[in-house]
Amino acid sequence: MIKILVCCASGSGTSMMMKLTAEKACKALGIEASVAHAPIAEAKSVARQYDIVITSPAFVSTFDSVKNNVKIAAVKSPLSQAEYTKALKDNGLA
Amino acid sequence: MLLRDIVEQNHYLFTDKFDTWQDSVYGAAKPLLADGTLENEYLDKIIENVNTYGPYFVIMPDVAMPHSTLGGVGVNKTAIGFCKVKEPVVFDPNDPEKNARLFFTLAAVDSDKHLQNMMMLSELLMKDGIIEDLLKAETAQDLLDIDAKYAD
Repeated sequence: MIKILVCCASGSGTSMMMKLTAEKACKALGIEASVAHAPIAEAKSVARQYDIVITSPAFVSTFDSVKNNVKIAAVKSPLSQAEYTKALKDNGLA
Repeated sequence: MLLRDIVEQNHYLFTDKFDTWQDSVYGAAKPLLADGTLENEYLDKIIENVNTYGPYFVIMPDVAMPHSTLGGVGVNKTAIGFCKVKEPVVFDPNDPEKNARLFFTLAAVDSDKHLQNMMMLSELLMKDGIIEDLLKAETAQDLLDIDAKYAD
């Protein structure tokens, strides 16, 4: 079981879409995963509890101080399953 | 399904242009303001968020999904508003991929209903050809036709 955190600015719109897409990508890859979502303001402090944080390119630098503890991946479109698949594969999780 | 809901609740708007991206946030939400689903304070917060984070809610070329926090100030009901504007709204002059003509304004107080709405919206936007069809829509009937066309 891998633990994924997706995050966006508000934590209730885009990241919810990201969560749905991430779950779809995991299912298609046959990976068991739990996906949580959070606003960017809260995400940094909880990031270490996850295997990977997936966010939009604009927010990647927010996680600079924890990037040695948790994998950070950027996706441009919250609805692109292909981008999530790639993020998981590039980080050795799929 | 979602587009039918939007039409039935009168939460749609077709317009020609907005002068600024700020205007587009208020303008696209007009149907939600009209029946008290949203108040201006919620939209003020969205503008503030864009000033802080950039146009985070332009989720793909031509599609903006303005929203702030679930249960935030100035949001009274859970709904999605649709607006199509003929002239693209520019959110970032350096990034044409952030231009938008289709707006889905999110309002949420009930997290279960919001999740359901988001699932419907995700499914809808992932259908091949739907963006092109929505860009051609001119009337509520067009939205109903698109709804029927992409129903599974």
